[in-house]
Amino acid sequence: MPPSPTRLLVRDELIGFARSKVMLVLWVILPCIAVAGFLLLPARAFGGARAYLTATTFMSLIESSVAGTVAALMIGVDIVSERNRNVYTLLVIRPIRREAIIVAKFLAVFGCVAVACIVSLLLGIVVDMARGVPPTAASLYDTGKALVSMTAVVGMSTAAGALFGVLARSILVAVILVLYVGQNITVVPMLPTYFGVLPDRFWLFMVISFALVAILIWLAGRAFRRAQL
Amino acid sequence: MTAPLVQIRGLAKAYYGQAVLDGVSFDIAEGEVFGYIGPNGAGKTTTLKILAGLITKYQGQVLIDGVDIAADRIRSHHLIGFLPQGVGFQAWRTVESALDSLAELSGVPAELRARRIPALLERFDLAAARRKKVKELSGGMTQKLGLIQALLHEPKLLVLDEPLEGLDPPSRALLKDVIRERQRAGTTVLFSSHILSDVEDVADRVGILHGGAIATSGSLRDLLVAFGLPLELELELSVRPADLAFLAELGAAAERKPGTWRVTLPDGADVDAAVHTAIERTLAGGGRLRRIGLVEPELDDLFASYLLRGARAA
Repeated sequence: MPPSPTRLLVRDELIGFARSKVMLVLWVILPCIAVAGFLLLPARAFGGARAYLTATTFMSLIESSVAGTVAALMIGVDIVSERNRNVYTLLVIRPIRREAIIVAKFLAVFGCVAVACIVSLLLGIVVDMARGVPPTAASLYDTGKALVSMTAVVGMSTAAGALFGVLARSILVAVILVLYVGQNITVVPMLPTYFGVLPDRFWLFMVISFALVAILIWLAGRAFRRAQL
Repeated sequence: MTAPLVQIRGLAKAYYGQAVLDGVSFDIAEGEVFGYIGPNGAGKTTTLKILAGLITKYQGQVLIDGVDIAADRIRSHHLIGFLPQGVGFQAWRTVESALDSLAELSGVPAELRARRIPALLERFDLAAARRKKVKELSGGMTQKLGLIQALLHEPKLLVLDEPLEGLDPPSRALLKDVIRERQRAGTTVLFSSHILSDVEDVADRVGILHGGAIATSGSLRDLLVAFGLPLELELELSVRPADLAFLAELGAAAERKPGTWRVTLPDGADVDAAVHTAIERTLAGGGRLRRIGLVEPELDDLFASYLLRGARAA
């Protein structure tokens, strides 16, 4: 039985991203810069809290601040650029569902950026161990939790980036939408807790995030299916 | 009698309230090469994009091999190979991997891909470039690659939007050969162009799109007769004969540039007789001919004639 078009598209997108310079930056250069930054940070930084800051925590701080934005920009710009270069024309005329193209792009970008987050955190753990600060069970639990919530944010940002990439006709418009609207979407899962509507539970944050990702991707796929190419 | 492979009925499409297609209807028989011509902005690309499933909002009906493309897109995509204008590939891919991926998405099994892709690359003189990145290809090479991707799954209908655009003369000749080969193999071809000579070379029948509708269709010769365009004879003289008065006997003659004369033949003139007379009288008068032949009307002339007829009728 032939593989599904979505699987083929995901494979192709993953190969494409993995070979791109952006991934070299995300997987190698950024983690190295973050480690260098951590090591060069003066002891009095963060009001003296630097002394208690582990490399793992520092790396998760850095990643959580950039990963979502990077993922959203990557997918948004990529979709607009490929659309403007008529790349999708050759895919849309094949016997596949149009939505599969957007789902594949989402999975590839999400996967690549999630890997970048994992690489960074693992590197943080390695640096900590090299500095004689081995991770405890509690710190590993916290790191795992940080990683999961980080991937949820990356998922939401990527899905929002995909939607704005489909809707926008120019790269500039896509970038503006991603930066000013897309980034605020990642706050949505926290709002029910903030307003006291729902209890403060990690699993609840994850459920809302997952639902939001599904809605955004569904909207992006639907918009792409209706697009007149 | 078998049903036509392509049936287009009352196709209409408007952009921002401006009608581009306004009731386009025509059929294409199986195995036919149909040239779709019209001036820039006439709606050729829009029609072809509707057929290829890129534009999904339109009025009217398009049947391909009996399949309504609006009702069963996946099946219609199996039937069509499409070359769009300004074809684009993922820049990071090599020629070979781009074709392999697209063929796989079209459902071509691995063993067929392994045979077809090298054969097509060879046919289009791209075998040497198979490991090159797509972004390193010239415009003409990219256009050829675009045509190859349309042929990968051996579709019943080949839809080509300005396929000869940007190709050098040898590549144009090659592409025309490929169209003829495909026709012999039973493929139906619909292609758009605004270059009449190219259309005339390969099309069995042409349809002229004008004012949002098919103005007329038929063989190109039939259309030239129908439009009532005057036939023109052009002579290039290397040595001028003693007397050129015989040209006026053939029709309305005028010297277009030094040594080159154009004679507009009257309606119903015997073209062969006119050519023979021109040669004989030139030689008899001590002149020498470098070139003689009928002048092919341009698409613009065809339209000018069409519009003039419309104005007269009004």
